[in-house]
Order: sequence, then C-alpha cells, then structure tokens
Amino acid sequence: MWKQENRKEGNDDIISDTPIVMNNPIESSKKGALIGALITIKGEITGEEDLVVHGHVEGKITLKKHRVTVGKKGKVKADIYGKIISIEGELQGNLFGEERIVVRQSGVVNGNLIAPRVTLEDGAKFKGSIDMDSQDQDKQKSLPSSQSKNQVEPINTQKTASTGNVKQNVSLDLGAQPSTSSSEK
Amino acid sequence: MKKWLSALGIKSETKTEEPVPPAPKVYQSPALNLLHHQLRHNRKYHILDLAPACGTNVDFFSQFACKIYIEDLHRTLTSFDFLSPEDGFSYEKVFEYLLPYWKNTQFDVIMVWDLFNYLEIEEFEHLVQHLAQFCRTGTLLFALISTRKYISERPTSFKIIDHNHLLYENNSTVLRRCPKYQQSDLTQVMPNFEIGNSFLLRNGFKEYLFSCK
Repeated sequence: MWKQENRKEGNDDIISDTPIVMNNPIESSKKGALIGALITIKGEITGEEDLVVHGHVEGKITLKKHRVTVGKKGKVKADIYGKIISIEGELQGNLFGEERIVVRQSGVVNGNLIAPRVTLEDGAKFKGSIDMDSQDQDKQKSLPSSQSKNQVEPINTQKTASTGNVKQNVSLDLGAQPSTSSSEK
Repeated sequence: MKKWLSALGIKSETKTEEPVPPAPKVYQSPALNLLHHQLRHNRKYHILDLAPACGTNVDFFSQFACKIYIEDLHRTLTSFDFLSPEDGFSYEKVFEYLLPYWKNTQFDVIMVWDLFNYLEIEEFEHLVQHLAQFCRTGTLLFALISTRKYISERPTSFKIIDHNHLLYENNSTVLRRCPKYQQSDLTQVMPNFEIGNSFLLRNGFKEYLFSCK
C-alpha cells in the first residue's frame, strides 16, 4: 500500500529499503540497531537488540544478550559487554563476551578481551590481554590447592633426539627450582 | 625533541636482497615441543607474547586455561618517540612505560620469538631485567637467536602449526646485520634466567628455552 501510494505521486526515486525498515519495528528489531558513520555518541548504551556501530562511540556499551559489531569505519572508545562481539574497526577498551569475541582482519583493538572463545583473524591488530574464561577454570577451582600458581612445574629433562632440521641439541636440566629462590628476583 | 634511534636498529647496516620475501616455510621447533610438554591442562597460565597478535598462536595456547598478553613490542618500540639518556630518559622508563603490569603479575611463559636479534645489547639487557620482575621461579622463556650474518629487516612472523612445528614468514626483503648473540652473551645479559635447552636449527636460528632462576 505504502509503495503504491508513493508511486501514484511519482516518487519512485524515494522508495528504498531503508524507510521501510525504519517504519517497521519488527523488521528493525530483527536486524538490530545501527549507529551510522556520521554519528557520535558519548555515554552508556544499553538495550535489548543487536547493535552495529559504524560511527563513533565513547563510554560503555552493555548488550549482554546480544551481538555487538563495530563496523570497518567504526571507532569505539568504550568497554563493551555483549554475547558475541565482532570488531572490524577500531576499538580502545575492554571487551566482555558472554559467548565469543572475534577480531576481524581489519580490526584494530587495544584492550583486554574476556570470553570463553576468542578469535583473532590473520591481519588483525591487537595489543592487550586475552582471557579465555572457560569452564575448565571452574573445574580447576575445584582442584586441590596443591597446584598453586607459584608452584614450580617439574620439567622433563630427557634428551631430545635429533630429528629433521635439527642439527644439534643441547639438553640441560631445568629441574624444579626451590620456590624460596623467587625472592632473588 | 631528539629521537633515540638505537632501539630501532636504524644504525645497523642494511642490505637489499631479492624483491619478494621468500615463501613461508615450516620448520620443526624442538624447544616449542618441550615447552608444550611442560604445560598442564589443570591450571591456568599467564603467557606473555612479545610478537604481533597471531590467531593461530592464540588458538594453540587456548587449549590450556590461560590469559595471554600480546604486546607487539618491536612495532611499539619502532613507532615510539623517546628521548636520549642525556635528556633524562632511560631504558628502565621506556620498558616500564611500554610494558606496564601490576606488581603481582607473574608470567608462566614468555614468548620472545626472534625479538632479541633486533635489540642492541643494552636494550636487550634492560628488557630482560624488566621482564624478570614479572617472572616466578621456573617461568619459561622461548627465544630464537639467529646465527646468520644478516637477518630480515623486521622480525619474522612465527605461526604455531602444532606443538612441534612453526611456520616462518619473512616480513621484509631488506636485510640488516645480525648481532649474532653467543651463548656467553645470553648468560651475561640474562642473569635471572638459565638456559634450559637449546637447539641449533638448519635454518640458522638457535632455539632457546630459558628458565627463570
């Protein structure tokens, strides 16, 4: 109906997908919200739908149950909480992914990533830390405390046989060091 | 502002070779194999990687519960304007600024790759001193020291294929003189570490697995 009315008025050129999507809340929620390339937002963004950022955002984005994408032209200086976070543009901040974080080939990220799964595509630029907070860690928490962080792991000292492209090898005993010597540092 | 160039290796002699970088090659890595065998699946590791981010390397370490710190230190050093010692700036401050960690941070594994070949001996020494603050007894440090006269102008990209193989990708056709650090140099410059294992490879690199004392 809407299209027909417009056509009657001779406005064929105006008809496009964009106004239809914008005028249809159901369609809009399916595709998620979009911050355009010329938009700058400072502050906190929260909501209940997916978000794609092509513009500039400074502050905090909290969409824990939804996908957050920073597009190729997007520049974000914020901590992002999302279910799946995908970075194609520039991001400075910490990312908290409930399910997964992906830094695409074009992505430039400076910050810390925390998610059960993290993917860095070839060519992605990343500086910071990656903490894959997997279920194994929960199992680990239930382990006896005998394996504390500072405990020295025993190191295999067997000599390795020369293979393939190895010309020569020297095998020394790394041995378990007494934990008290750490104070020497 | 005077830019301090020694860390950039710009003073080093350069030599141009073939225009196209050699194709990436896979080599065995016995030191990586040893390192891999020392990691357990029932504890969390803190791993410092001084090379640029590489997805396959992250994937490799993600088989263990771990927190990986990725620094891309060579690029940071070469793009960083810092003052000369005469202007009151020191290596200690440089590394404190570039590699800032909480005092209670303790790395279990440090992947240096071939970065040491791109540092002057003084820089090398101060970097190791700085890192030692964040090591515990038994922290493992993996490094590749070139024994060749010339090395690529920029560090090689290393991708972990599996626990015993690395893919070497040269990033430049331009060559520069290699400092060719000897084992005695390493012992002197790295007093906090001891050489656990070393392996001379046919590709001219010597792999080292150090252990923090």
